[in-house]
Amino acid sequence: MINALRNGDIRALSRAITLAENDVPLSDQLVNHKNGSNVVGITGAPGVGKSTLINAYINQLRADGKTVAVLCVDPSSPTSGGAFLGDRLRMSEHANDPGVFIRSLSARNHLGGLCKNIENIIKVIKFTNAWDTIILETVGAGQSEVEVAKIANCKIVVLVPGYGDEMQAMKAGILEIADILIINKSDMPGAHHSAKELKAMLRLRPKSDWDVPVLMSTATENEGICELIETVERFKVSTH
Amino acid sequence: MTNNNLKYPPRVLVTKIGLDGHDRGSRIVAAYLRDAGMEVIYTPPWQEINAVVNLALQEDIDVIGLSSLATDHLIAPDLMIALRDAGLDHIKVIVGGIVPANEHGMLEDAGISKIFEPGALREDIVESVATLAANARSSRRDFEEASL
Repeated sequence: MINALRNGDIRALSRAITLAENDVPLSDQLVNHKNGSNVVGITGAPGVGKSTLINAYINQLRADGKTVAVLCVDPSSPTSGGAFLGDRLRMSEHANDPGVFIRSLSARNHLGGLCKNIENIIKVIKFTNAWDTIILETVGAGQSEVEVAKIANCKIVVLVPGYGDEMQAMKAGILEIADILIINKSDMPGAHHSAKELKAMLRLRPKSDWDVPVLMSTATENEGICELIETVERFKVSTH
Repeated sequence: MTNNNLKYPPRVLVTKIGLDGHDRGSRIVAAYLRDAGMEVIYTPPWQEINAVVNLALQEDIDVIGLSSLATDHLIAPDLMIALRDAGLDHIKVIVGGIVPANEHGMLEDAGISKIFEPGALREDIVESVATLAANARSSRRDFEEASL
């Protein structure tokens, strides 16, 4: 298994993720493996377009010749424990691209927006050295599903025009963990007003080395994606 | 410990291959399986066979459910061959929908595990998928060690 994983065998990677997901502990060589893949977390409320944005993001990374692994976490039923994992249906144009690996994960009633063993699953992916970027999509997040903050190098919080007024923008929680804020569906009315409110909120924050940018995108039209990727790169440089 | 001792919900892919877009049936079955505690990966219709194989590979699927309401099952044998070529012959495949009686034999010969026709009961579908998922796991011969 370890050798197959190291050789980039997709069947081994897929199987190893299942094992890690189901509480199989990692050996020291996986735990201690060093790899510089950029882990980009994407979070936001249900229906803001996280999966569609990721699809557009994958398009651009592939155009730049980068490989990408995507982990999509969807909620599980609190009553049956089952799950309907539908994020990848927005990314189906990449189904035959060997430079894209997509895995759907059930939250299995874990709170916080991800799943219990997500850190080990990321270590398994990193061990292959095959993926330049790892995108982590949380469940549709409310106000306090902020676990992604601990795990991702760069956190993108996705909003839509009219997500709320200035008072929403002032609240503690998900907006606070953002390294980048992006207003998707920005072809809808109110996008510029929402951006202005967010910027006003950000001005009240103490000065820091990284000023959280407010970007705009229309993911279905691939608009705003180049700027997003440039900003993720700029953030990576600034945090080094 | 071998892989077969791992206890986790069946991972089921509910999909449609071919050109037919009638997806109500596949959505209903996906909801049945979810409500029975399974992890269901759902796709829209019109999937290419290669895309289904890649998806099953990346998602470590136990059972594939194909919905066929307008002759899509006629290319199901091609999917079986593609799965075998990808080293995924432990995955069990079932077909549900409109399958004329004289085409059942052809599907069974191709390795389809079960065919559900109109009027199939929720509990029969759920039980069959659960049993096939267990069979898929116990028939798997690659990566038998469950350590990382």
